[in-house]
Amino acid sequence: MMSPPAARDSADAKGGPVAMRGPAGALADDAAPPAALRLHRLSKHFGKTVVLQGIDLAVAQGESLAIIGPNGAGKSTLFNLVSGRCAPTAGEIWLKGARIDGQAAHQIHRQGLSRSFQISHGFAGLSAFDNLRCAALWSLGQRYVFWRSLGGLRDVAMRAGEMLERIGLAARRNVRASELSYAEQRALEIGITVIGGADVVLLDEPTSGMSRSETLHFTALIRELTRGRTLLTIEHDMEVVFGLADRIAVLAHGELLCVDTPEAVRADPRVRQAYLGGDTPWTAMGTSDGRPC
Amino acid sequence: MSRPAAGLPGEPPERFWLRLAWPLYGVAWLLAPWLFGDGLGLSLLSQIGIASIVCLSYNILLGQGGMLSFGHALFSGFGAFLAMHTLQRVAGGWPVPVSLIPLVGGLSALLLALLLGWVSTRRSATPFAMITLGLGELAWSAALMFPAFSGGEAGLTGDRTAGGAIGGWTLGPALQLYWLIAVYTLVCTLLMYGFTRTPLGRLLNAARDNAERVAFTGHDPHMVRYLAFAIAAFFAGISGGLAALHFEVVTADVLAGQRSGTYLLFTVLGGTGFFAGPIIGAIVMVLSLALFSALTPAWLLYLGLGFMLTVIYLPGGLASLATARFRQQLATQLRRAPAACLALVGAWLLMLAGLSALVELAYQWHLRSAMGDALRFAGLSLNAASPASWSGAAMVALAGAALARWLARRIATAATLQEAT
Repeated sequence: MMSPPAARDSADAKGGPVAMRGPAGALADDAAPPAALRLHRLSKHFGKTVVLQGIDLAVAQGESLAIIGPNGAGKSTLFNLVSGRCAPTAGEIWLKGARIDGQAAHQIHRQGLSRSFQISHGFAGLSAFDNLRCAALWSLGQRYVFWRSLGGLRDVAMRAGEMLERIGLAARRNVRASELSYAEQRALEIGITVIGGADVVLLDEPTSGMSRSETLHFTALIRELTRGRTLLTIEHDMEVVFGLADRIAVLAHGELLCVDTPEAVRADPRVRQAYLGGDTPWTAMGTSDGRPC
Repeated sequence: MSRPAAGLPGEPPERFWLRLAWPLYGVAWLLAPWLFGDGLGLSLLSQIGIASIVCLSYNILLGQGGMLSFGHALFSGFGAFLAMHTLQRVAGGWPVPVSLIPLVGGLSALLLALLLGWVSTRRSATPFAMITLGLGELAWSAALMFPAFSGGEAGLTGDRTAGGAIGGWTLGPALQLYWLIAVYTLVCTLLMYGFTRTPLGRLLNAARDNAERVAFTGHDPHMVRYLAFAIAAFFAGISGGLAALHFEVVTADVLAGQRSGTYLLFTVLGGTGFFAGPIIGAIVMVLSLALFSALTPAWLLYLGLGFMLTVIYLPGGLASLATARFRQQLATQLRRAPAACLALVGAWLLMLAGLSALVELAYQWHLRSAMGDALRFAGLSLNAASPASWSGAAMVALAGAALARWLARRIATAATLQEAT
């Protein structure tokens, strides 16, 4: 089921020995670094409703994986479980060799996993610059600091300033997040997600609601910002998927249908089946279900 | 990196005035005793200092953290009680300078908040409001159950001169106490302003806007709220300690939910979106509690009315009147339709007159058994038992409101028309 991952530019990907190993990790070559992310029989039920059932998935360090599937397939729930927004009903989640399922979101983030939200206005009342400064604080060691001035923290200001340049918001530095345009808010959301230096990045429909040209520009931006990091993307736009992903995972009805290269997934009859009526996914894509969990 | 205090609604700061604001505020406290130096004036000024510290601390929760507390008086009151107990011990020989007793109040409130805060701040919205409400009521009733701590119904009294003179200062004269309160007010205000410019202060704004997103940056929003809760309690406790020295009596009422409600009301009235808003609220609080109540027995009804009108017509609070955006709008409208603006003020006054007549009628109705039905209002003879008086007053109020609405639309249309041409 799992083809060897075609790792992208993995110069920055951190390997190194780790104390704990995922259950599936035992099967892998001991010399290889642990998977950036490994899901083992992951399930999520809401009462009697089964949203995810027995998901097994490994993502190599530096790999880019796109997750596609029809509405209600459980894509967003998968992200919510991995990022700590909700706890799984059963199964295990391993991040770089350490088990993280059931941990709180902020604990998972501190171990190097960051996510974006499909609908987000960042911190609406703060300027774009302050949105990024807040997101950069933890990784620069400024933790709940109330005895120093934020303005005096040069490294935080530099990191946020650089990020403003990279996401093209340098001229909008002092504009409140709520007053940014939609595309600018999307860019800010990505900036907040990656500024902490997390090496596993989850992006939930980063280009949804964007125009064609914005999407193309944005895909390039994402590729640039996540270079060397492990990237998981929920995406409906097939052009984005092919532009970003090394492999594609197809979710349908809470189960993982297949994980393979874009070409193989495109040819897979089961994928066509999942999208009903035999339409190819890339013509029948809807919008996301937007389920909170 | 001069930016406005975090998350302020509105516009870029007018740096010139911002830079002047602090020296001006200090000079105001320095000169105030010469301007309002009589006994009542000094007492009101001292109360304004005490109230502004507690309202500023309340706004750390409400304005900066989006946490609606109904139990903030728990911390100012606890600080007041501990300060009073310390003052009584000083009279018994403890070597604590009386001028440091407000710090005892602050530290004891801080300790209490560290104990109670973790449970309270799990969530920020309704659960936080409900838990603080419950804690406040619990403390108030518990205080009456333990007279050894609270002095029962009569409360605790103390003598602020008990420590004797230090460098000629006994704190006995009102002016000496005023200087102590002024110093505490300025230092606390500076510290709380400084807090808005720290990383934690900015994270608190972030948690107010989107607590879940904060968690996905590595910070626990619960911890952010907890620390802010403790810091707010510290300053509330200092305010309580100053109040204990000022009034020299502390009763269980200082813990009551009504007190917490007062903090909420005047902080909102002043403007939660501005750092100085709570100071304005505190000034209005002291003046209306002390002065307005002497003008009319129905002052609470007026206060409620004023609060409602502020929330409806000036949702940013009184402080939003000082913003550049507001003044620009005012200036353009005055230039474009001066007559209509003047008429609008008239319509507002008409509406207020009608509303005041209603308030007076309601108050007369409430006391009719003792005072009869007839009353004089603005040279008119009204009767609380007469439907004509009631409907007349209501019609004046409605006519004023309708006229004001019509004029406001007219002014707005004139503005758009001028912009179009």
